[in-house]
This record gives sequence, structure tokens and C-alpha cells, in this order.
Amino acid sequence: MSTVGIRLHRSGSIYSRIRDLLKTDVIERDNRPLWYDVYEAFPPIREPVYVPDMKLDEFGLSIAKDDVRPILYEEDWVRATYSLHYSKVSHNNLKDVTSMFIDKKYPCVCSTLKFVEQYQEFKNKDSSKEEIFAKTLDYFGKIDLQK
Amino acid sequence: MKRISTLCSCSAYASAFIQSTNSFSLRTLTSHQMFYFKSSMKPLFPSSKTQQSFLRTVQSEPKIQVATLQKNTERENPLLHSDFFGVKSLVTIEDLYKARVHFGHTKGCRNELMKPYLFGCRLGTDIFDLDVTLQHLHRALNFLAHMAFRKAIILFIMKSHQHGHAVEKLAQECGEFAHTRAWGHGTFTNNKINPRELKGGIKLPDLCVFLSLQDTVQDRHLAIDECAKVGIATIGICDSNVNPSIITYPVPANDDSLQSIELFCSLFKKAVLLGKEKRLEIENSSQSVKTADSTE
Repeated sequence: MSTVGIRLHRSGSIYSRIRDLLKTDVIERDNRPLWYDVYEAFPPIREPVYVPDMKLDEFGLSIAKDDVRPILYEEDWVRATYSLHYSKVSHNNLKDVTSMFIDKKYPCVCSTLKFVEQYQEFKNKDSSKEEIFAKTLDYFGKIDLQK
Repeated sequence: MKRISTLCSCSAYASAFIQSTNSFSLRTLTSHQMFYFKSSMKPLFPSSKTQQSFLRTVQSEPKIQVATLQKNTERENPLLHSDFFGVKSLVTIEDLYKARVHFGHTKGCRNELMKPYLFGCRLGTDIFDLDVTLQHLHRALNFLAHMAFRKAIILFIMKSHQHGHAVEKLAQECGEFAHTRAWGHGTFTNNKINPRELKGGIKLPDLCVFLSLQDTVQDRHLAIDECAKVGIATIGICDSNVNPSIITYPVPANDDSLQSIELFCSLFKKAVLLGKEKRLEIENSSQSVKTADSTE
């Protein structure tokens, strides 16, 4: 299919180009591509029109505003305080993305995890978070968390 | 002999298209270089044994099947059914989560065009919104199944040292094609190397499935623009650092984890096989109808 006008991949989408070629009878109806009918029946959520990448500034950095929302949990405060002050593990890598992927069936190895879970159990509306934190700390003072 | 020599001279540019051993036995020429042939009239090396239909466009569909399809009022047009192949039941959000499909790259690598697909950023790592991913995935799998139903030539593309073999295996199990090596510039577009005007010239795929939009050197894969130029529909797994605007059916997901690529390989395989099964079903039942008619 090397007909005229098809190779401009940045103008419109493949669908719009072929639809217009069919309309103007450049391509015969029988010679339409195999995906054309399926595309018309089940179009994608967004028509695949080319959008160029955003330009970079003089330092090669993106000029776009970073407005993707940060994912934070209530227990992040607990995690941070505990792991910074009380956990015996080294803190070279504080970015704990694995907290997004916790499977309950595996036994907890991380002491911060255990601490946070216990904190969640003790949590109630009356006491402040510092009080509940102190309570869980007392609770674990009797048991060795690193096991 | 003349024909063979002209085609073999293209060996420098043609890349290895791996294919299933079940179908199209004529296509196994040399150990690594396999060419795929187009024929508007008949195959280049005619083989009476293999049942090949070099379907390229809608026109070349055998008329018998169409007639029996139209005749039988019980048989519905697959395009009218919202989920003819039952593709939506193949995967759930939990499967996606377990396969770590929601992890994107760090926010420094983010491509602004992927922003609408992101749920948020957890401590510097972009996280995809799996509800949105699932919607896109359903559409992509549905499209894939319909194309397999229409006997499309499907090319799976993935330039990755880690996952190349998995993709080649996927193509072999589906009975389709894969390309996991260095992409020759102009494989689709260069008319000097791939003469299309000649009788029995080279045939292009109808659908390209990209399991990663990037080359190993973190550049955009050359085949994406070539597909758009030549009018080949594309499905692509878009990570948070690529430009998805030109892909026909993008799927915003993780393309780096082993688990996530394995999941997508298995899903694509299932979708293609579902499409092919239904096709065989319809062909077999139409043949039986045909023989019934002829005996009457």
C-alpha cells in the first residue's frame, strides 16, 4: 500500500487518513486494510493522533508542572518515626515502595511493618497519634521485633 | 532461481522473523532469516500441501465462507457483539496488581503524555491507575482477538535482552510472528529493499504488538513511526517514560518487570488463540453446511 498521502505519520491518525482516502476514492472499498472494520466497530479510547514531546528548557529539564498527586498514607508518619528512631536497620534507602506491595500471607520480616500493623490495631479516635505510638512501643518493648 | 537470488540479496536488511513450526512450512528458508511473502495472485513458491491464504485485504476472503456466513441467520457478525471472544474475563485488576503492572518509572523519567494514566506518585515512583489500564487492556485484547479471527498477520515486537526469548516463544505458540532483534531502518518503508510492486513481493503485517515501546538504548523503537507511516495498526504497552500518542491501542502498564511481561505474553497468546479457535469453529461448521447443501 504505497498510495499517496499515507506516509504522513504526524498528520491525523492512521484511521483518519485511510477514511479520507476511501471517501475520495483513492483506495477502493475492497482494498481497505484488515483492521479498518474492527477499528470502526471498537474504536480506541483516544484517537491515535501524534502529539510531540514537551520541549525542554535550557538545562534539559522538563518545563511541565508536576501535578501528579503524591500517594501518602496515614500510617506513613508512624513508619517514618519508627524506622528513623527505633528500627535497628540501616536507613540508606528510605524510599520504601515495597509498602505498596505487601502480601499478608507471607510472614513479616520487616520490623516497621509489624509495628505499623500493631499501631493500626491500637488506633482509636480518642487518643492522639503520639499516645498510640507510645502504646505500641511499650507493647513491643517486651518482644524482640527483629525476629 | 532469479527470484530467489534477488530476495536473498536483501538478507543484509531483513531481520529474523520467527514463526510457528505448525503452519506455513514453505517459509522456513534459512536458519535465521525468514522472509514473509505477499501474493496478490498466488504464493511465490506454490505449495499445494499448505493451506495458506495470503489474506491481505478484505477483498481476498474466500467467497464461500462469506456466503455461508450471510446465509446462516443464526450466525452473528462478530463485530456487532460487544465481547465476542470473552476477552474481558481473561484478566482482573488483582491479576494486574500481583504482576506489578502498576509500577512506572521514577518521576524524573516521566513523559508528560502519560500523566492522565497515572494514579499518583509514591515516593518518586509513578504508579499507574489500574482501572484505566484495565479499560485500555480490554480494548486492546478485543482488537487482537478480532484481528486473529480475520487471519491477520501479527508481529510481536520487543527489543529487550531479558524478554526477547519469552516474546519469540509467545509468537511460536500463537502461530504468529516476532521480531526481537535490532530493527533495520526502513524495514517497512524502504521500497528499494522491500519491493511491493513486484508480483509476489514482500507482505507487511496487519497488526504490530509492541511489548515495549523502547529500544534497549532507551530510544523510541523505530518500528512505531514506520507502522504509522505505512498504516499498520498497533497495540503497545506504554510505560511512564514513552510517548503513547501514535499507538492505536495503548495499554499504560509496566514493561520492565519479568512478571508483568509474562502476564502480557500469556494474555496476548490467549486472545490470539481465542480468535483463531472461533475462526476454525465457523469454518468447520460452514463446511459442514456446504457439504449438506451439496448432498441435497
